[in-house]
Amino acid sequence: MDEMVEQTPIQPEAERIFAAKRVWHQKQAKLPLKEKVRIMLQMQRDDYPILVRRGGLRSWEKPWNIEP
Amino acid sequence: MANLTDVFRALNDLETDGVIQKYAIAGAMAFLFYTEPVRTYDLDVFIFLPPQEGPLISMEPLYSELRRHGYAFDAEHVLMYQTPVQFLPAYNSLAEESVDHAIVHDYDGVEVRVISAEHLVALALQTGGRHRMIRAEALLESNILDQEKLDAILAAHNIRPIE
Repeated sequence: MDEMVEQTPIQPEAERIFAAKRVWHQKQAKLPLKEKVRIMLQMQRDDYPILVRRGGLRSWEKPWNIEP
Repeated sequence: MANLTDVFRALNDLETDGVIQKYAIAGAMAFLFYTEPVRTYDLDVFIFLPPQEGPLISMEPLYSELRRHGYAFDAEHVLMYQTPVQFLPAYNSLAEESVDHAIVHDYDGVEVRVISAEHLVALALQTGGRHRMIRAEALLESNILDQEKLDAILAAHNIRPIE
């Protein structure tokens, strides 16, 4: 027989934070396309130094030199 | 400086000129049209190539045309306005259907063909991979999917839905 796994109840404060995060993600998804591309290009630039330090990037994996 | 509309215009021109028969944006960039932004360093494009003789599909006619346009290459990517674009011939029936049923979006006044949200989920489930599954789950939670359409695609291609 399977053992019952007791789940730790989520604290109300944590639940509130998770709900707020869900709303934030939904809002991000509804941004205008061009704004989403602008954010993606910014992510490319922000993450690049970290990824370089980690190593293993392929030659074409670098921030795009374009405007949204 | 160039912008993304230049890349999309160039893709449309390749289609208009008959270098490719049809294209659809795939991968992380396609998800961006429906979900929150995610970081990617390349632009995947599914394509139908014009009919060729022989059993093997050759990318060479497309690559020669791209070279003629002055685009540089980096490994398997074509640098279009310094954006690494990877052209992938539609490799199975689901990929073919995804290109055929792509949605035309407007990006800053330029039409761009993008794989539908439902086909993106189906492709992610078929192909697997951590990043794809995370993106697919984001779409499933987004309430923008046509569940009936998704169920039909999954059934037609024998893909198991997420439990």
